[in-house]
Amino acid sequence: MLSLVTFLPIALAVLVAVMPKDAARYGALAASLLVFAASVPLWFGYDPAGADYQFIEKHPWIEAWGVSYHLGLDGVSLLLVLLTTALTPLILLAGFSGVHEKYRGYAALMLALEGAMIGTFVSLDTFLFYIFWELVLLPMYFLIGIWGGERRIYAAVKLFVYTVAGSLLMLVALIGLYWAHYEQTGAWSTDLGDLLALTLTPDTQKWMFAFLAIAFAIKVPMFPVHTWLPDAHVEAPTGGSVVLAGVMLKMGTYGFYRFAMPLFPDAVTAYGPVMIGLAVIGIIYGALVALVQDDVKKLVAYSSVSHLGYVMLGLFALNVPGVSGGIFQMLNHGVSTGALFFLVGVLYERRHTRAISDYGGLTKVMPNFALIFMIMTFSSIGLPGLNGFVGEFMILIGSFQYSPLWTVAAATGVIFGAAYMLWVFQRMMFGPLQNEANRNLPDLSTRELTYLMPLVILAFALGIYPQPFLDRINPSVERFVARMEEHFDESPYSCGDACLPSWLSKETL
Amino acid sequence: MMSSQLVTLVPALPLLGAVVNGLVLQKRASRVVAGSIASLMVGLSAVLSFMALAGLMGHDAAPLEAHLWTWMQAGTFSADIAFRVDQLTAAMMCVITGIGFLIHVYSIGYMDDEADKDSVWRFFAYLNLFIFAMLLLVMGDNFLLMFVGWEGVGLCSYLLIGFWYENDDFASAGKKAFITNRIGDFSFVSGLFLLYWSLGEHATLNFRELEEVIAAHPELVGGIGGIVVTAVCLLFFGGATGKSAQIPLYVWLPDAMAGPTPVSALIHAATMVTSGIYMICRLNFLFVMSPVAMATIATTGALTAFLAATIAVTQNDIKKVLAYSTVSQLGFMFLAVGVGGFVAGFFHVVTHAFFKALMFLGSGSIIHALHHEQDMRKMGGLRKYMKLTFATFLMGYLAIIGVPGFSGFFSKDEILWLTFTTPLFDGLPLGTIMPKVLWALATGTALLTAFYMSRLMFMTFWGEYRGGHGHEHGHDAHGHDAHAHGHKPHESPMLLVLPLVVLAALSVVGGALNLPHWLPMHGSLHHFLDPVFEHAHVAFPEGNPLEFPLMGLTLLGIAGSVAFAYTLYIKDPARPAALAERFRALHTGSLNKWYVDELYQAAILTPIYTGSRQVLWAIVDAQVIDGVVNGAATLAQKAGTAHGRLGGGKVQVYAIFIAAGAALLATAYAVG
Repeated sequence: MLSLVTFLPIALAVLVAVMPKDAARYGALAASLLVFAASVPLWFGYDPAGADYQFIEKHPWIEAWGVSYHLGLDGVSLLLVLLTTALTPLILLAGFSGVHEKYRGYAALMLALEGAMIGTFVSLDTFLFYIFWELVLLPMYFLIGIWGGERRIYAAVKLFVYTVAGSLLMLVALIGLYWAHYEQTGAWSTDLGDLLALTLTPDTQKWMFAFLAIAFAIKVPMFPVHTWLPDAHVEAPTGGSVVLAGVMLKMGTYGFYRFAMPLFPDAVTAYGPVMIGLAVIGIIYGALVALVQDDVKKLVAYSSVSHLGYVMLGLFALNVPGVSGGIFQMLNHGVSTGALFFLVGVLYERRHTRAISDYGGLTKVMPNFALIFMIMTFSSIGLPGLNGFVGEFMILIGSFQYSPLWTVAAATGVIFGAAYMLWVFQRMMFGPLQNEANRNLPDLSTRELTYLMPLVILAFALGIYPQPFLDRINPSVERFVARMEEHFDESPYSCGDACLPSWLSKETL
Repeated sequence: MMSSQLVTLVPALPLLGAVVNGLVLQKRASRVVAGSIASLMVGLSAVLSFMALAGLMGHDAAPLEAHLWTWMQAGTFSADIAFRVDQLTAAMMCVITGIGFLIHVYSIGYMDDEADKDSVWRFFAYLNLFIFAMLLLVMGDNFLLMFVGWEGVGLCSYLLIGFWYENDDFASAGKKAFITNRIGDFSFVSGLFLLYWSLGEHATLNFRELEEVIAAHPELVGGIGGIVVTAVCLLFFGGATGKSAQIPLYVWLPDAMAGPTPVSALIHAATMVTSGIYMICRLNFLFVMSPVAMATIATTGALTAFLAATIAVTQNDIKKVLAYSTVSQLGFMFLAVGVGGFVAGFFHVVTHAFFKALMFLGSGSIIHALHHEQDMRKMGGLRKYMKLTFATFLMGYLAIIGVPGFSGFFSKDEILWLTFTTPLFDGLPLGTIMPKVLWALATGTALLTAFYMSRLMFMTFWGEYRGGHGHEHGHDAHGHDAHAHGHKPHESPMLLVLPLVVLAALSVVGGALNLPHWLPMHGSLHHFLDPVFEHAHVAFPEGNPLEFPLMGLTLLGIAGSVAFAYTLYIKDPARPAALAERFRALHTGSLNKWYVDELYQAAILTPIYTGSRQVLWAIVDAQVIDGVVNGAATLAQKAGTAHGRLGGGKVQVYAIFIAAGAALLATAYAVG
C-alpha cells in the first residue's frame, strides 16, 4: 500500500516524460489524481486510536549492512503524505498556464519529487530515509534551475550548497548511530526502531543531535540558516514555490519530530532552550524582514520563515498541545502559504512583475482574486475561524508551559504578521487603480478557481472543525511526548518555574 | 422560556444573511433586497434575544446552554463550540440585535448612493457578519470562542472602515484599526496563557469552570492581590484598551470614522467598542481579586475620558467630535468597572448605546442630506430644515450631557457617585485620595462633555446655514449628485428618521432600567444581573450625606458649561477665534490630537521599519549570513570541474558528496 503510493508517482513520472507532447498536460494531471486516489484509502484505513505505525511494510534489503526496506505511517506522516498527494494535482493544473516550455519535463520532475517526498515521510529506516532525502533535492534543483527566473542559477546553487552541507552532517550522524548500534548489540542496523532502543551517553547524543539538527534546520529553515529560501522562492516557478513551501519545508520539521528528537532526548533537553530561542527569533525576524520587502514573493517567503518558527516552537514545547499544534501548523502552512504562492503566480503570469508597487487597486478589476487573497491573508495571520489560528494557539499555549517569556516574545509575531500581510494587501488590492497596465486584468479563470478553491475550503474546514485531523495527530504525539518525558527529570530544560524570573514564579505567590 | 438549542439560531440567522447576500446573491441583490434580507435576519435574532432575556427574568432562572461540537482538543487542552446565555449575555444580545436591527433598517435608506449600487450587497453582508461575530463574542462559553468573536468583530470593522477601499486613506484607517487591535489582542492572549499556566492541572478555558476553580482554589492565582491575578487582569485589560479604545491604543477609533456612518453608530459606538467592558464584567470574579488592576483600569478610564474630551472641544468634523466623545464615554465605563461598579458600567454601556447610536445616526442623516459634508463649519441652522433629525438629536444631546430625567443622567451620576465612594482602593498607597481625584477628573470631563456637545449642537442646528455653495469634496471622495448644489438641505427619508425616533425615545426613558436608590422601582438592572456578579460584591458605603450636594454641584457645572458654549457660539461667534488665538498652544495641541499619532509614528513605527530594512535585511541577511554562504558556494564551485552550463559542475560536486558518503558507509562496514 505505502510502496504503491510512494513509487506510483515515480513510475508515472517516467510515463509522463515519454508521453506525446499534446497529451502531457492532462496526462500528468490524471497521473497526479491517480496518486491522490491511491492515497485516499490511507485516511480511511488508518485507525486514529492506534498510536503505533500502521500500513507497515518491512523486508530485508541489504542484509549484510543491516539495511531494511521499512515503511510505515503514524498520524503525522499520514497527514503529510495526504498533503503532498493533494497539492500535486493543484500544482500541475496551475502549471498549465505558468509553464510555457517543456511541460512534460516539468510535470515528470514534479511527480518524481512527489514520490521522493512521500518516501521521506514513510521511511522507518534511516538508510532509506537518507536516500529519499537526497533524492528530493535533484528534481527541485532542476525545477528552479530550468524553469526559474533570472537569477535561477544563483538560487539553485545556493539551495544546493546549503542542503548538501546539511546532508553531509546528517550522514555523519547517521553513521555514528550505525556504529553505536554495532558496538552495543554486535549487529548492524539502520532501522529506526532498533536505533531508538540504544542507550547513548548525553555527550554522544549532543553531537549527533547537533549534526542532524543542523541538517533539518536548514530545510525548515530556521534562523540563521534561512537565506536560501527567499532566493529559491523568488526564482522558482509558481509550482516549485508551492511545493517548496507546501511540503519540502516540512521535511525539516518532520525530521526533528521523527528522528532528531526521539533519537536523542537528552540532547533535546540540553539544546531545547537554544532551539526555542532560535525558533522565536525566526518568528520575529522573519516577520520584520517580510514587512520591508518590495517583492511580494519574497515577502511570502520570509513569512514562511516566521511561520515555520511557530512549528519549531511547538515541537520543542514537548507537551501534547504544543507538539500537536506544531504538527497541525505544518498542514496549515501548506494550505495558506501554498495558496499565497499560487495567488502571486496568478498575478505574475498576467503582469510579469512581482514588485508590490506595480499593483494597487486590483480589487476593482479582480474581485474574486481579491476575495481569495483576503481569505488567505487572514488564514496566514491566524484569524480565529480559519486554520492558522488553531495551530498558533495550541503551539503558544503549549510552549507557555515551559517557556513563558519566549512564548510572549513569540506572540508578538501575531502583531507583525498582521502588519506585513495587511499592508501588502492594502498596497496591492486597495486604493485607486492607478497603473494603466492593470486596468484590464482578467479576474480568475475557471481553471484558476479550480485549483484555489480546494485550499480555500481547507482553510475553513481546518479552522472550524480541526478535530478529525487532531484525532489522528494526538495519539502519535502522545507517544512522542511520553518518550521525551522519560528524560525530563534530570534535565535543565524541565525547569517549569525556574524558567521564569523570580517575581513571576509560583513559589513567590 | 425558550429552549437551549434555539439560542443557536440567534447567531446563526445573521450568519445566514451574510452568506445569502455575500456568497449567493451578490450583485443580484439590490440595495432594498440585500438590506431587507439583512434586516430581517437581525430582526428575528432580536426577537429570539428578547425571548431569552424574558426567560432569564426570574431570580432562579438557569442560564441557557447549547453545546455544538468539540472545536480543538489535544491532551488536557480542549475548547468547545458552545454557547452559554446568562443574564449579562442576554442583555448584551438584546442591545446588539435590537440596536443592530434599527441600524440595518436605517442603512437601507442611507446607502442609496449611485456609486455604491454594485457593492451595497457587500455592505449588508459585512454588517450581518459583524452581528454574528459580536454575538459569538458575548455568547461563547469559553475564552476561545469569545476570542473568535473578539477578532471577528475586528475583521468586520476592518472591512467596513475600508468599505470605500479605493480611497487609500480609508483603507489605511481600516488597517490601522486592525493592527492596533492586534496589539491589544497580543496582550489579551498573553494574559490567557498566563492564567491557563497558573491553573496547572485545573486549567480550563471555560468561563463557568474557571469561576468554580477560582472560587475553590484562589491560591492558584495568588489569592486576593496576588501577582499572577494582577498580571492576568492587567494583560486582559491591555486587550480591552485595544478593542475599547483606551489609552494607549485609542488612536484607531477616530480614524475609523472613515467607514459609512451606520457603521460608526453600530460598531464604533454602540456595540464592538464596549466589548472590553463586557469582557471585564464577564471576568468580574477575577478582576475583583486585584485592587491594583482595578485601580489601573479606573485611572486609565478617567484619564482617557478626560483626554478625549479635551480633543473633542476643537474638532470641526461632526463625526470626529462624536468619535472622541465615544472614547471619552468608554472611559467613563472603565472608570465604573474599575471602581467596582460593574452594573453601573454596564448600565452606561446600554444608555450610551441608545444615545450615541442616536447621535451618530443623526449626524448620518445630516451628512446624507448635505451630500457627504461633515464639516460643522459648513452646517448651521439645520433645525429649520431637518426638524425631526433635530428633535431626536436634541434628546441624545440632553441624555449625554446628563440632564436629570434623561437616561445618561442616571448612568453617569451613578458612576460619579460610586467613584467617589469606592472602598476598593483603601489598601493601596494613596488609596483614600484616589477616589476623590478620579471623581474630580470625571466631573471635569462631564463639564467638558456638556461644553463640546453644546458646541456641536449650536454649530450644527443653530445660526444660519453656512453650506450649500462652493462645495468642497475634501473629506470624502465619494460620488455626489450634481443637482444638490445650492439647494437648502431637507429632511431625510422616513427610513432614516424612524430609527432615530425609536432611539430618541430610548434615550429619554432608558434610565428606567436602573433608577437610583432615591427613586421608586430602583435598581432593576442590579437585581437582574445579580447572579452574574455573585462573586464580585463590592460593599459601597451607604447613606453618605455628600451624595446630593455633589450631584447638585455637577449639575451646576454642566449648566455653566452649556451657558458658556452659548455665549461663544450663539451670542458672540467671533469669540471662539479670539480665544483660540489667546490660548494658541492649547488650541493647536487639541486640534492636532496632542500629536499622539505623530509620536507613535516617530517612536515606534519608523524605528521598526527602518531597523528591519536597514539592519536586519540589508546587513544581517544580505551581508553577514549570505556572506558566509556565498563564500562557501564559491569554494564549492571551484571544487567542481565543469562550469557555465546549468547543473554541470554542481551535480558533479553532488555526486562526489554522495560517493563520499557511500565510501564512508563502506569503510564503516569494512572496519566493523
